[in-house]
Amino acid sequence: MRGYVLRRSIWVYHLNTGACNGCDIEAIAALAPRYDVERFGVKLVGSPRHADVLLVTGPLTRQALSRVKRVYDMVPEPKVVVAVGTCACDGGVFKESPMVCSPLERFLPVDVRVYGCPPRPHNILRGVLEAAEILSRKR
Amino acid sequence: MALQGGVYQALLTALLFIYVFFAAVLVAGVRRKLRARLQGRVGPPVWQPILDFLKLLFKKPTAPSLANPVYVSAAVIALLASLAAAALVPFTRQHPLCFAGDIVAFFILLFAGEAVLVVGGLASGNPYSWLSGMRAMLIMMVRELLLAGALLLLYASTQKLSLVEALPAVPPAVAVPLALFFVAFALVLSMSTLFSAPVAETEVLEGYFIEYSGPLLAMAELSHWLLAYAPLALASSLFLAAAGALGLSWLAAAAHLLMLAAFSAVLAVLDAAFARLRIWGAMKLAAALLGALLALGAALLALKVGA
Amino acid sequence: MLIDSSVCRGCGVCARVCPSNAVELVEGDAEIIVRVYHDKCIRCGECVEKCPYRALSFSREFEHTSRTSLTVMAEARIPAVRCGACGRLFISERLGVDIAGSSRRELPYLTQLCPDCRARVAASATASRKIT
Repeated sequence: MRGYVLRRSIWVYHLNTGACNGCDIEAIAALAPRYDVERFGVKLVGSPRHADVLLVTGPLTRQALSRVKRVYDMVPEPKVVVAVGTCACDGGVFKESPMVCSPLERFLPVDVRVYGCPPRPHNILRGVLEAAEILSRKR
Repeated sequence: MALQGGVYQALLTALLFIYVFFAAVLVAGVRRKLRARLQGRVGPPVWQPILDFLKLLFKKPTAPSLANPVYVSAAVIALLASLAAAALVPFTRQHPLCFAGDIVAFFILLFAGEAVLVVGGLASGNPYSWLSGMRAMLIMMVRELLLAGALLLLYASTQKLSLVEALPAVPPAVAVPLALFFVAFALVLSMSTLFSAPVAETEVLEGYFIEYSGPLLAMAELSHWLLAYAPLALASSLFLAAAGALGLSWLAAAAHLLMLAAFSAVLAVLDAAFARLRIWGAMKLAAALLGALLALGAALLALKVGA
Repeated sequence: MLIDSSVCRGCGVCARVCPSNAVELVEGDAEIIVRVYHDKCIRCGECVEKCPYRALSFSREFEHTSRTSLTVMAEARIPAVRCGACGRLFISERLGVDIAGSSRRELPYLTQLCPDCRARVAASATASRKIT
């Protein structure tokens, strides 16, 4: 029953670590009524303390690093991290920049990677649903 | 014999609380589902609030660094108060929890259900919860004052302080505006937190329980659903009493649930049709809507008394 | 992204122009492997535009989610031989066709030397020729 409930009620917190906003626009679009994420029980929440899934965009700039760690700690267990876009997965075009600490998996355990620059909204939704699947199996 | 009577009452009370839980969840779920359907999408299943509630219970809680007893106990007290308020509303003649002085207790519990949670939110130390708490308190000032007026009207029209005795005794001319008052009250209740600020970022939309997580958040959410259920249940009971249907036991419960779903649908239509309101707009709407219905009820009562 | 392995010459222009280093050329045993990674590709199209042989092209398979990192988006393996002089792998067959054209004459210096070594040999041969 725990697995069923965790798969069917997915609250998402969107975290921008210094992205160009391309992925953010697509992520917000994915959470807008057009794609109807509510039918899967997915809801956008305004506090990491309410979230199950941390949706991270951006190449993890130096200024964002300590804040991202704090936000990650604020999310209650069980939790999953979804890296959205090329920047979050690997650093993208900013990888060699000294202002950027990508990739995300150096600092946070990334469970699902959504590829694209930016990824299409239904691809992000697919990533979130896969994250829900992983979440339902976590202890 | 007395023990058997006591056990029977205890069983009825337990059943009542279970019924209240599921009815509150039904109201919340129908409202969300219907709003989605009106927006042209499928929406969550009607039992989605139960899934949300259970999921929150499975989370391990985190606490802000200022976690103090007020923050933790506020959620528990608010839940108990709203549960009691919701359970006080009668829908059959044989209500296990009726007692004299119901109306006053109902008002206090309904008020406490939200006020205590606001205090808990303010105690969490987050500026966003301060913002939402201020907004909630401003709307509460208007709303609770008019609620007191409505309950006063209920007493004045029946001279009875127990809800079970008062509801069937309300003259039908007063019952209709009074019932509509409670439906409007439920609408205004939803204006103080989620999705009530039209230009707000998600952090502000979360309301004053932004720092709650896990089981405490589950309690806060449940008390909100119960607080929304209580006035709708009262309105439904008023209509049932006016139709003389309060005497039928199981059928009354079914009719009660049906009316609850209908009111929830009305609220969903209003949600979907109208834009969100800023704080002053919300206060003005609360004052105008609730005040008008209250004035109408009082006028009708005065006319009846005169004639 | 699709790589047409029947056209690719393993020249490495795609790897050089990619802004996010998503394309890599790896030497296998007797083949050159061209790989494009999902993780790093920003779908800009530089490689598609700059490939001299139009080996790379966009396809409808550009969306993906994965639980592991370094997911391959496209891969091509082209058989190659080792240069007689420097030992580097190069694709003799197709480069030979490019230069010799449809006559397909087996010229040793085309099949045994990579383009750099061939250029070096040709330059020294020209330089050592007596001016008559």
